[in-house]
Amino acid sequence: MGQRRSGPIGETEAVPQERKGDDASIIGVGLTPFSRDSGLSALELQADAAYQALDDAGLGAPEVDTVITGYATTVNHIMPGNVLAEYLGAKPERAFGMNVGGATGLAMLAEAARLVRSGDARTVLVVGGENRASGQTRDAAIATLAQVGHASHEVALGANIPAYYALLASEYLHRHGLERSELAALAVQMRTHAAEHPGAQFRTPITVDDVLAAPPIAEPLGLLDCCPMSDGAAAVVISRGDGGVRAVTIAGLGQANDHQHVSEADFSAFGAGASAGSALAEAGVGVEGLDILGIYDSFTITLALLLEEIGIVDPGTAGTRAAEGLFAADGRFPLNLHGGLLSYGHSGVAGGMAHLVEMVTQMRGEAANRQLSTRPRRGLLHADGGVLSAHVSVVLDREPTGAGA
Amino acid sequence: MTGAIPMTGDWTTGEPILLAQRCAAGHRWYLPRARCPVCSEAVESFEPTGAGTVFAETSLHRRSSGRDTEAVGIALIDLDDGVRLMARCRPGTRIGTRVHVSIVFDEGSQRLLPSAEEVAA
Repeated sequence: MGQRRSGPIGETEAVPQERKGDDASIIGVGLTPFSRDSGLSALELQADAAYQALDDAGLGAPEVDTVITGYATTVNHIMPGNVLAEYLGAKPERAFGMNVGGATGLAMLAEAARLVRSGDARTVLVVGGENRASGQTRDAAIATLAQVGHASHEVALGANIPAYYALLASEYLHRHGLERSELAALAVQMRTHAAEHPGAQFRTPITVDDVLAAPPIAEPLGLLDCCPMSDGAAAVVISRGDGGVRAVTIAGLGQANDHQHVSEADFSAFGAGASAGSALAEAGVGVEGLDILGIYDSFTITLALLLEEIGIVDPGTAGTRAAEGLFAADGRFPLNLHGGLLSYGHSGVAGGMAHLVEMVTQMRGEAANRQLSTRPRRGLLHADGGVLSAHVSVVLDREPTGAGA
Repeated sequence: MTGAIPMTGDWTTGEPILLAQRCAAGHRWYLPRARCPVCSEAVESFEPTGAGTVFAETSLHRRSSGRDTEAVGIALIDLDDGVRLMARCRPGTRIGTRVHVSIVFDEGSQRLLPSAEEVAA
C-alpha cells in the first residue's frame, strides 16, 4: 500500500485526510439475471452470485475470512451469513447478516470496507439474493415489505410501500407544481438502459405515454413508476488494495439514519444529502468530479428525490433533466446503466447491489455493448432503505487513493 | 422501573380516542414512546382537537388476489396541535385542504381508524 501512495509530492497530498487506514478495493463481482421465476431457492441464488464473484477475484471460498449476507424475505433465517458460508465451505472467522432494507447491499459493502481498512479482515465476501418473486405470493411479499411502516399507526391503515412513496410523490409534485408526467421520463430512461442488458427483467422500450397509461398503484404512482419484484442475486469480494488493474477502490463512505417512518420524516432533508456529502468529502471529490452514478430507484419518485437531495440536479428538475438526456449513456451523468430497479428488477438486497456491480464493470471497461465511450474514473452509489429512512453512499474510484486526478 | 408505556386507551387498542404525546419542554409527536425523542424528558399523552391540513395524499388501489378493489385515500395530516399523523381520507383529497380528524369505525378492516373529513375553510 505504501508503495501505491508514494509518488510526486502533489499527489501524496491529495490523499483525503478523512481516510482511515489503507484502501479497501472491490476485486470481484457477480450478478445473476433477474426474473419472475429463476427456479432457484434464495440460497442457490446467493451461491450462484457468490461463486461468480469468487471466480472473478480468482479466489476459492476458503480464502474468504468474512462472509456478510443480506436478509431474504422468502427465508427469514436468523443466521443468513452462516448458512451461506457453510454452503460455500468458506469457514470464515466472521459471518453475519444485515437488515437495512434496500440500503443493505451498500451497508454491507461499507462494513466490509471498514473491516478491511482497519486490518481486522483480509478478504470479505458480501452477498444478497432471494427468490422474491417466485418464492412467495405477491400479497405475502407486499405484506412483508409494508412492515417498514409503523405497525399500529401506519400499517393498520392499510398502507404499503407504494403508498408510503406515493405520499412522498404527492408532496413533491405539489411543492414544485409538477405533473406526474415529469417523473415518467425517469422510468423511460431506466428501460432504455435495460434494453442493452441481457440480464434485465424488462427490456421492451416504453414511452412517457406508456407510463401515464399504466394502471394506478398508489396515485400519483402507476405500475411503471414502481419497480417489479424479482428473483436474483449479486455478490462482491472486498480486499486490501493492490488487487490488480481490475480492482476498484472504495474511496468514500457516508451514511445517515434520521427516521424510520414516513410520518416522522423531514421532507426537506431525508438524509441522502448528508450521507452523500460524507462519502464525497472522504473521497475528496465533488459532484462535478463524478463520471457515473448508481442511485436507488425503487420508484420514479425515489430517484428524483435522491438525485435532487444529493445535488446532482436542482430541486424539482430530475424528470426534466432525464428527458433532456442527462442520465443517458452519452449524457453528463450516466445513471444505472443496467436498467436500475425499475427495469433490471428488484430482488431485495441484490436489487441495490446490481447498481454496484454495473459501476465496477463500467470502471473496468468490461461492459461490452453497454460500455461507456470514456471509461469512468469516479462514481457515486447511493441506496435507501425503508421510506428514504436508511441512507448509504459509496464513492468508487478506478484508481487507488492518492493516484491524482 | 422506567419505560412504562404511557399511552393507553386510544384507537389502536379499540378506544374511539385520538392521542398524541408531549413533554414538559414543549416537544410534541405522534408515534408513541416512553420518553421524549428530542430531550428524553418524561411524556404525557394529550387529545388533539383534530383540526388540521392535508400535507400529502395518495389514493391506494389494492388488488387483493388480482382483483382491483375500490381505492382508499391515505393522507399525512398536519394537526394544528403540532403533530403529523397518517389518516384515511376521501381519495383525491387535495394537499392543503382543511380537515378534521376523528376516530371512526372502518367497515373494510372492521376496526377503528383515524379519518380526515374536509371542513369549510
